[in-house]
Amino acid sequence: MMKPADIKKIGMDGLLRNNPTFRLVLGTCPTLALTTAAMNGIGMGLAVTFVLIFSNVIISALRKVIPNEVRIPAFVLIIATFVTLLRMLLDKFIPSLYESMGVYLPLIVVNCIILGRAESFASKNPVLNSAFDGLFTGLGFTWALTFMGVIREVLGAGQIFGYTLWDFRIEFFSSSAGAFFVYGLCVALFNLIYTKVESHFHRVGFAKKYMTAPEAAQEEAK
Amino acid sequence: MTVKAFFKSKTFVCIVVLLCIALVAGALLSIMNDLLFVDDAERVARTVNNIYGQAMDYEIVYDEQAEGQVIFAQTNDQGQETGRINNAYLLADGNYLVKSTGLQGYKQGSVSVWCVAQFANDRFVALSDVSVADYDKQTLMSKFTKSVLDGFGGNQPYDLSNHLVSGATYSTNAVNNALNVALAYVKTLEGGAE
Repeated sequence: MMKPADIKKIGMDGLLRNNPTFRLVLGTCPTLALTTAAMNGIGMGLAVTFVLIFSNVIISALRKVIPNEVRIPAFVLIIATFVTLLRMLLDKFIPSLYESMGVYLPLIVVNCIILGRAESFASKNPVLNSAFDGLFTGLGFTWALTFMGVIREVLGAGQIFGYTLWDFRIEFFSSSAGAFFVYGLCVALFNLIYTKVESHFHRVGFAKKYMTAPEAAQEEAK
Repeated sequence: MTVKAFFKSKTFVCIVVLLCIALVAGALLSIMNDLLFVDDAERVARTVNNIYGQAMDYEIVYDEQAEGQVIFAQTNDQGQETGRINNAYLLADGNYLVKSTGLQGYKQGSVSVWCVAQFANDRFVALSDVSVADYDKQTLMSKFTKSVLDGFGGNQPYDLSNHLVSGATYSTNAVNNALNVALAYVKTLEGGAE
């Protein structure tokens, strides 16, 4: 039985602590290529989330059946099945997204995030935990891509989610070089904020444990 | 290793597990492919909808896969095929929707495009609404954005001197070939399709 604390830990890991894009720098290829628009970022993120959830669930369910020697080919087979299924679903029901994602959709098969979570989490944990891990890691990837997509779309095209804001645009942000530039800035910004917040909580936790109440309040105020 | 030992070995278990996963995955995808298959009619309807923003009646005037269909293709001076017509549809507004494939792209790959042949009084006016339908081996098709493809309209033959997407020369060549064969074909439709 899964405890709420487990869900919270998995959620924090996927969304922030081990965010695949900004902390682990995984799935860089679609991150750089598809964040020219925020909607592309959301589309790619949700596509990866779909594959992550289902592949994690199946891999976790079969973790005692799949021999260690052939685990990687087995994982790739399972992931490829869900990516193919996703392609069929998108082509049928959301053809515009299917076309905009182009070659990056089948490339989800070799996305490091999915294979990484299969190898490091799903193959060692129960089904429900793995499903939550897939969900939160996918959502972490989605928000990161959307965040980058918003920055690049606003600066590079003067739009946000397809709606024009102004005529001003800096084409550089829509280019490949702009993608690297924005990605680098986002990683730096995220890690700066994350480190500050983490050290704050660490200090507060330490203060509450070892200091008197007034000293702890004073430390927290810092 | 004896046969009995093989069937008890780890190797055999590995093979069986991988085969079972492949079989189940294959069966699942076969069923889903049947349920989610997008046929040609649906693709044509989507293209019409993308171009006109609404559904429109059409009739098939050319289908390269139809029995007895005479293939409409173009060749270069060396006798090599450069492009061919895949499908053509007469739309309710009197224009034609044409799908053609251009060859001799990057790594000898191909590009298939949709385009609308604008007609007025049964006379061809110009190609418009060019969009990429499919491609093979072309790695730089992302350069062919909507604004770039809009520049491919017109009624004059296409070549690299007047239609070139910088950095994607071979792919542009395939697109030009596709549009040139479309241009040649729609001129045969003047006066009404037979």
